[in-house]
Amino acid sequence: MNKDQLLHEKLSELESGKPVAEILQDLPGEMSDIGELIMLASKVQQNMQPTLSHEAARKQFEKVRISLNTQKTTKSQKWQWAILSMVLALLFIVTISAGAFIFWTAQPVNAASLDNIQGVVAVKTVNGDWTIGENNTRIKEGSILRSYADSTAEIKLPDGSVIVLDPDTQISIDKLSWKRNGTLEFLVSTISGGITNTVVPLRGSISYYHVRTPGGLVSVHGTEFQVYALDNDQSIVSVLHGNVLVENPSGEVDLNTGQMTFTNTAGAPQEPHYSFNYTGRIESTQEDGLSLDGTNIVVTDDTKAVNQPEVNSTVHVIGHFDTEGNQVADLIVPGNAKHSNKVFTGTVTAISDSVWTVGSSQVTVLPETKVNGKPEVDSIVRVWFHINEDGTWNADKIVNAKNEKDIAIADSEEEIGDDTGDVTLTPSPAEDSTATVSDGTLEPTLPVGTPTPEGRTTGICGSESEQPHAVTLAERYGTTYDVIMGWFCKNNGFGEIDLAYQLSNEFGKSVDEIFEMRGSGMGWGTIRQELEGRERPTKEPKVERTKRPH
Amino acid sequence: MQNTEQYRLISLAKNGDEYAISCLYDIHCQGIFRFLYYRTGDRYIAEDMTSEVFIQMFRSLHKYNPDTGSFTSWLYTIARHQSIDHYRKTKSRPEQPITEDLISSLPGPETTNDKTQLQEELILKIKELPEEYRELIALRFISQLSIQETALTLGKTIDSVKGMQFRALGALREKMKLWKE
Repeated sequence: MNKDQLLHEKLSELESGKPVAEILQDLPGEMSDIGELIMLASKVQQNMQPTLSHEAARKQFEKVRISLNTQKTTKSQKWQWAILSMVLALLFIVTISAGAFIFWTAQPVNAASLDNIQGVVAVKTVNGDWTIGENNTRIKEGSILRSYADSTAEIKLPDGSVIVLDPDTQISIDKLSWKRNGTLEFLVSTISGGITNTVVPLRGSISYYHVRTPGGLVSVHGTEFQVYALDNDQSIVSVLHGNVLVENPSGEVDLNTGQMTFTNTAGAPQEPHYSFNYTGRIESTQEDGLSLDGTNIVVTDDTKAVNQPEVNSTVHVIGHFDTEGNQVADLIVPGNAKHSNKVFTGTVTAISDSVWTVGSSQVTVLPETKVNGKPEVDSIVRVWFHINEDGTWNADKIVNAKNEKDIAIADSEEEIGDDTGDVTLTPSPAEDSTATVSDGTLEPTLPVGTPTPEGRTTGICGSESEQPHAVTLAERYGTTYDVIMGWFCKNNGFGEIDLAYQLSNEFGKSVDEIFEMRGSGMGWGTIRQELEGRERPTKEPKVERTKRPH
Repeated sequence: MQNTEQYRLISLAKNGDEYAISCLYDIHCQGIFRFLYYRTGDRYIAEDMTSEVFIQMFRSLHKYNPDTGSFTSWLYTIARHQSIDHYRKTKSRPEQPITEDLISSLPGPETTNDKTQLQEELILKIKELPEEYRELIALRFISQLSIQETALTLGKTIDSVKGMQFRALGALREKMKLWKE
């Protein structure tokens, strides 16, 4: 054993309380120097122990205690500061984000885009260069567009509004600014030709959508209309749906659905009158008229024609009915054969079993004819029709012009094949769906699968008086009172009907399907969950648009 | 004190338990004070540093891991660093005449002259020893740490400390022999 270890062991014995004398006795003789070290260590241990007095110890501990409490407070303050810092940081981030968002939304979008080009459309940029437009070509303020013969295109504005250029049309975009908060400032000038405007309802008091024509200014707020710039600073404005104000320095007129007017710089716009819009093939021409798909149209000296009408050409005719019921053409422009369409507006003067008299024209109402808005005698209606081989007219759709929503819904069904059959009045050929007349009032046939009033046994279903809830829901969801009452009389509450329509709109399912799910015993919560499980249809900007009349 | 009891106190002290901290203080304050006294040579500085060691201990307690060593050696490591910092600040070893102050603080002033003389001589001779020997004697024989605790505090192996204590006591013995002669 070496001396280091031996000394360590002996010191351990000393620390455990063994007397020094005994430790020294156990040491081998040759290790006497170790004994000296042990004695020295013992002396140091015994004699070199300064002590901290009780008073000093308490005094020092008081310092420790104060520090301890300070530290606790500091820790707590640190947390408070940390939380405060986080809150401030969050506020900062939110403020910056909100500022950035406001800045972003305030930044105007100054470009529209071309789409659905058929033929050739030239675009003159702000630089003065003419280029051939392509789909997605950016159209900015100051641009001029020109469509050539047999050419059309759509201009899609950033707010979702759409302008359709007719063939041989030239327009200039004089103002185009749209902000993400919905504000639109748009001014288009028709230099020549015609445009059809489908305008998304404007948002904000400063929004405007103006069409400058040679004969005046057209202001709109969510509508669809056509503007044709003619020679001699004259223009025709024809409203397909909605209301527009046509004004020039001499006066102004309000146009409603189905109405048209002439306007020029010589005087106030003409009093509005109901119009027809036909697109079709010219079968023959006479000195005072032409035959368009089998129907005769009077052509007068006042008729404006962009080109000389030729047999077999497709044209779009806007005109009016004279007092004798003749169809008088006001404007004949090149039309698009792909969009053959015939629609006119007039007052219902008589309704028989299958033939309606609208204005001075008679149309046959078939089971498949869509009838919206409960038109009756003296109602102003728009009639979409086709001409039979024998020259008679079959109505495809009749819409009460007073009910804007019905028009929009009916049109959108036609455009996009909406599956919301519950809001249409589509008679089934398999059923007795012919519109009937009773005391001059039309009772439209209910759609297939639509509940009928027989289901509910309460007095309401048999009552002649209108139910305010049903009226409200019909207006809210663009359907008819009868359809709503049909659901009600199938033992559905108005609240349930409201919910079903909400779900239908939200998830793109028909109301029939919603009520079928309900009828299968599913609760409303379960129905929503199931519908949410489906992929939601992509929502496009809601545009009340009608099919182009040509 | 058994380790388990000390660990319980440490655990409570970590959560800010003032009573546990006061217990730990009572257990270790005398040893820490003695160690610092011999390291600084000044009672008042040693007293102040004693409280600072415990304040630092409380601040760093969350870092203490019982698996890495005993609490005592961890505490004396703090004290050792405090004394090193003190030297660094004063940039010198204690030069003040510690003898009288230290002797007066030693127990038994009423003892014999021989004993007083021995204490004085031990203080003087320890002061003459090299730094590492003085530190070892302070830890091992004045603060009375175990050989393991001393080794951990100094960051050395146990065998190394065993050899060092042999040499330190041997060096002190030689100094004392010279004094006797």
